[in-house]
Amino acid sequence: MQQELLADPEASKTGHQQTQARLAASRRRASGALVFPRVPETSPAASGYEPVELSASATLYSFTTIHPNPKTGEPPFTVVYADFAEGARVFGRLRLSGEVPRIGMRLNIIVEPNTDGQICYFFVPASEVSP
Amino acid sequence: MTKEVFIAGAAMTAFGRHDGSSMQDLAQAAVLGALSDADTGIGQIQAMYNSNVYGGMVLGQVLMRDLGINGPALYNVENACASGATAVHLARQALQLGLYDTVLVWGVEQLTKLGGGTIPLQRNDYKTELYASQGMTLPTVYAMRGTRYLHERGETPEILAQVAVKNRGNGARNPLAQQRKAVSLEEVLQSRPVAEPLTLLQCCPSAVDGAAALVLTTKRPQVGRVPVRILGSAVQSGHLEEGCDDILDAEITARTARLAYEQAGLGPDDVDVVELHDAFTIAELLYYEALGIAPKGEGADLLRRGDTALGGRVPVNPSGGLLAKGHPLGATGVAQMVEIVWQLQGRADGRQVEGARIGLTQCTGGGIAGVDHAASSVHLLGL
Repeated sequence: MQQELLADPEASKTGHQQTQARLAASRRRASGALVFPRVPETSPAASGYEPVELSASATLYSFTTIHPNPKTGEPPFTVVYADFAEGARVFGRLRLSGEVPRIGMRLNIIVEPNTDGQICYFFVPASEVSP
Repeated sequence: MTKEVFIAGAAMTAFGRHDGSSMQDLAQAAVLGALSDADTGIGQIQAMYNSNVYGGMVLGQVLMRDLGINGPALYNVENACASGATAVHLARQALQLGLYDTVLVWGVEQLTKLGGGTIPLQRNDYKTELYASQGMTLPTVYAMRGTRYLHERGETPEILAQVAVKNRGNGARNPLAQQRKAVSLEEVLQSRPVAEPLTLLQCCPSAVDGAAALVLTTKRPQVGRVPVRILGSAVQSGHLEEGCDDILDAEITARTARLAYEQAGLGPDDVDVVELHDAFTIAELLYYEALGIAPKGEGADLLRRGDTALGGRVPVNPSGGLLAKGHPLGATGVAQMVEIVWQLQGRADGRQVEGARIGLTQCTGGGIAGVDHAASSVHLLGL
């Protein structure tokens, strides 16, 4: 079963290929700190956490551009750690359209279904997203 | 009174591609070498500790069968890249408790059989599965640290490349190292990008085979060399990553080192030589500070001054480190201690740290998401 990624799973069913959404995280009751992804409800540890909805945007904390071995023929791609105002860090891909990634850049979170119909998330620079 | 634990024998195979050898061949060669070095036989061994990551179940028994083992306690130990050091830690505990007098510890790995390339994360939990599907690998994790390090410290990629220049230069002096070619700063920076800012020569080779072994005993060795003792030995696990941690704070390593120093009654200033877990160049810079051999924020200066080069104040990775010697996972922690034993006993031909009396080894095991490194181990060895 796919891990529940979105705070509102209905948000991914808008009919659009890509849509802005909010990610689902958990707050650990003992520390008050957040973890992502949300701890599964089936986990015996779940009672130690409460659900939290993350903001729609975040700040780039660090990044790297991965260069797959040339034998694979795969193009380079960029991944980031993005920090959310609620106090959660999320790892994910950053899709760029010519921008240069930089620490401190504002990012928005986008979701889309993959070829298997499962929901995937990625980041884009905040200026890229139309209201 | 706690029993003293001596390293009576130390040996390792060359690290590299061993197409004609099985894992049995490699492990047995290292074990027989360590037994010979200790001037003892397998019949004197009361317990065995096998360290390995990818070899499968009851591997230790498989490896030792043809040497004619006759029923000693045999423990198979796995803790990712910290497996070998964890095995030594457990062996020392048993010796100190008086369970055994003499034991054998070895580590072995045969990664060339896996086909090369980046070692994947083990995708057996929901968080690691999610992040691996997004592109997380071990080089990714270290590259993220590299980017943040350069940003926060106002450094350029040259400082990372200097780690590779130093360690690969050392490796060129070590006949057992996998990659024995000294490289220039330009060669490091111009090698193929892997995960920016890390280039290929800033990553340890992933296709490598090898084994290393130690004989540990509570009986003072009588082989005519100054015996090496294990003065401190600590293993710790990571903690749940929550919130927005400082990824430049190698907390688990600092915590483990503090425990080892306390056990040994030593501090960072007492250390003469270090073998640490430089799987990627950025790691060495962070561990300088976590181990206390550089004050916080001054790791780059330590390297720039040449303090960690051969001939410097506290040489780091005289063997070539993981970057040049190679990183056969289960063997690495044991091999680090083999190198320190040779350094302390004046047997490190071509790369000897003169007058070294105290050595430190550090390795860290990762490979899952959501924990600030899964395992860390620090050992202090001394005359």
